[in-house]
Amino acid sequence: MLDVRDVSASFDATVVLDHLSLHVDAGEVVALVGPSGSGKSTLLRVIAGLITPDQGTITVNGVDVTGLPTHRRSIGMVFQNEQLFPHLSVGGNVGFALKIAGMPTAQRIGKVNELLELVGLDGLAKRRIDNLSGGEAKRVALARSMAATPKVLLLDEPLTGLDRDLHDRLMIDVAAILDQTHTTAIWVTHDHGEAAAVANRIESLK
Amino acid sequence: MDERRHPLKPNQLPRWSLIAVTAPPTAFLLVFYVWPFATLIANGFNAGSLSDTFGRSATWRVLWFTVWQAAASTTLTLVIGLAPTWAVSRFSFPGRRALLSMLTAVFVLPTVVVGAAFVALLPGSLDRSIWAILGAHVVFNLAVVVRAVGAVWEKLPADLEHAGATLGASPLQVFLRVTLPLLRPSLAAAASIVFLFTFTSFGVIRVLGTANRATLEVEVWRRATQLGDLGGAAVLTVLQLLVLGVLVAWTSLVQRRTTHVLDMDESSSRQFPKGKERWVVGAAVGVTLMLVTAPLLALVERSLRGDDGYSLVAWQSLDNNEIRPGLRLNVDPLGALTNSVVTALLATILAVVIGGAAVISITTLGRTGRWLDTGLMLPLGTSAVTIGFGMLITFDTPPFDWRASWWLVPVGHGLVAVPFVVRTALGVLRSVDLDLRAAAATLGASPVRAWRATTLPFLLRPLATGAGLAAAISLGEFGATSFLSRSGSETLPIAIERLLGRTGRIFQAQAFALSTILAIATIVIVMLVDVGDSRGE
Repeated sequence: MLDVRDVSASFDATVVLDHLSLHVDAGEVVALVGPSGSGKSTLLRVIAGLITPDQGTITVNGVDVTGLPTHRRSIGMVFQNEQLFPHLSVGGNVGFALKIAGMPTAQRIGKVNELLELVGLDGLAKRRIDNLSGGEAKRVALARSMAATPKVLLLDEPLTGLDRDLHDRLMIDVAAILDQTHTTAIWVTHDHGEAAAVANRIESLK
Repeated sequence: MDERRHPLKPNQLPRWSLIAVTAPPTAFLLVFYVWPFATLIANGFNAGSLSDTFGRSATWRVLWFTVWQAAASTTLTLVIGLAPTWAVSRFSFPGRRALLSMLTAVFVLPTVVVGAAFVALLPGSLDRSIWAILGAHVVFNLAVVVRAVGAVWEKLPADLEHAGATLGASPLQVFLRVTLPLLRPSLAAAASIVFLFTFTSFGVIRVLGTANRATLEVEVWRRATQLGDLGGAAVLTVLQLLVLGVLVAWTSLVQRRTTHVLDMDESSSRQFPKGKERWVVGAAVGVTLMLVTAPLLALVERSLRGDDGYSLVAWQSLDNNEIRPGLRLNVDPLGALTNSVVTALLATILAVVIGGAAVISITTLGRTGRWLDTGLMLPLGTSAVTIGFGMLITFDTPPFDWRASWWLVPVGHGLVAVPFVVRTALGVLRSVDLDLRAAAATLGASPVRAWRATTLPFLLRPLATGAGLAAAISLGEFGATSFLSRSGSETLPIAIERLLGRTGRIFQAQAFALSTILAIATIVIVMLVDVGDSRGE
């Protein structure tokens, strides 16, 4: 499914990723753990096409996407601090990818409601982004990424900044949603407990 | 407990000192702003003048021209300004700071100089066209767009745009659906500022306009000083105030509605442009640099162009206004230079004394001080033409017939400059820790002594900055001066406008030479202020 082969990346003179390879099977959730600065986020950004690697290739379903711009890769990403669009409502955020894809309004509204229901936020489509709690914002971010039906979903420390109780509840929910939708995903975390709970497999970066 | 709300009562400055710092700015404001403004409004609501003015088709033509040229100038400035804004807010490149400084330098230039620069730049057939006016307005106001929109753009989290891309949006779609909506409040702010400036454009239009291309401001001047129709001019002034009032109310409403809470990226992530970006950034920067430097270079070049080839004739003849032996031109270029320097000096001293006293009063009086603060800001929101016109029709009867007084022009300039002195000094003075004064008091210093030891030193630097700004404002002031200037004591901007209106290559070249002097003086002063400011920080 997703193949990262021999990827290296550096900023200025600092080598962040050094000949790294990773394989993820279809429907598999791989947790990527490692200390801060080990290059977890950089690897996600290379896969998403937000950072150009110095060398190496990324293939999805056997197709080399290394030279493709981000918007043509069909690789979704849940950002560490959500990055919800502040000028759009909850529904506008979740429906963003559908609108870009040209889905008619009526159909889009239905799909948005379906996704909100999936993440446990039914009825919140009209809510303003700045009126969401921390947990709700993370659920919206997940729904927004799933709307694009990406081939691979990248989650960059998706549960940071939540208190323990909420963190644990959301962790179980998100893991269940990924499982239920057979989503192929890479989940970056520095929390080994979280990694063990959500992933089929754990890969470690040093 | 908040010290500020409970000032050290027994240690307060004595009453006499408060009166000494409060009375002069209050009297200055009442006599030279409030009274003329009230006179002007009273004149504007005269029934006869109202029906006369609104019954004239010329009034509507002027209003229409004022609105559409301002709308066109604003649109063009936004469209042209977007590319350099993108370049300076998203990328680091050699010359980035130079470009920003250049834009600011043009923005602070006197309006008459920018008008003159476009006369110098454009061929004769175009220099009085609408294109010259729009061009001057765009070049002038590019800095507003680049600064106001750039401040937001460079702090927009790049990950918001990345998020758009991971959701399948192409770079263009990301720009249209993510970036642009987030920039909209800042674009609206920039647009309303540019519209305000161009709607009240006076100097540029006086130099580049024609009888059919006059803004309300120019028409006020024409009616008041050329046609003697004071009533009509007052009506037009009130009309302009109404339009501007509506505009300001509307924009603040729109601002409030479209503002989003944004987690700004405080560490701006400017990068060196890569690959194809390099060409686009280069083109945006190159075109902008050309737009802002070409008029200024043309100014210098044309000042050196004589009847046959390049020469210094215009520069050398600045002390000579003889057209033919025995026949003199009613403009004295070198005299204007002297007048401008003297006027700027007086206006600066006045603005610093009045502004300095005002900030001491405002910070000491607490809540009551706010009235003075607001009052002294009013001249900033009033066009210089309105200020000059108000003074002209107020001080025309004995014992207040001051129209022929040498000091009226510096007073007008001082009035325009005081808000800048107050704004610069007030913030600094408010941030002085009151405990310092308390400490001095416990060491045996009297309230006045304690104030002098702990607060006065902080006041000197902002007052110096304010003085620089006041000098630059006075040197370029044209609106109020057009009403208050006496013949024989013309300042540089007045002389430039007159010389440009003359036929004859030498007069034009002299105008360009004077404009060059004025441009350099203004830029040098503003640079000094800037350097002083950054050292202070």
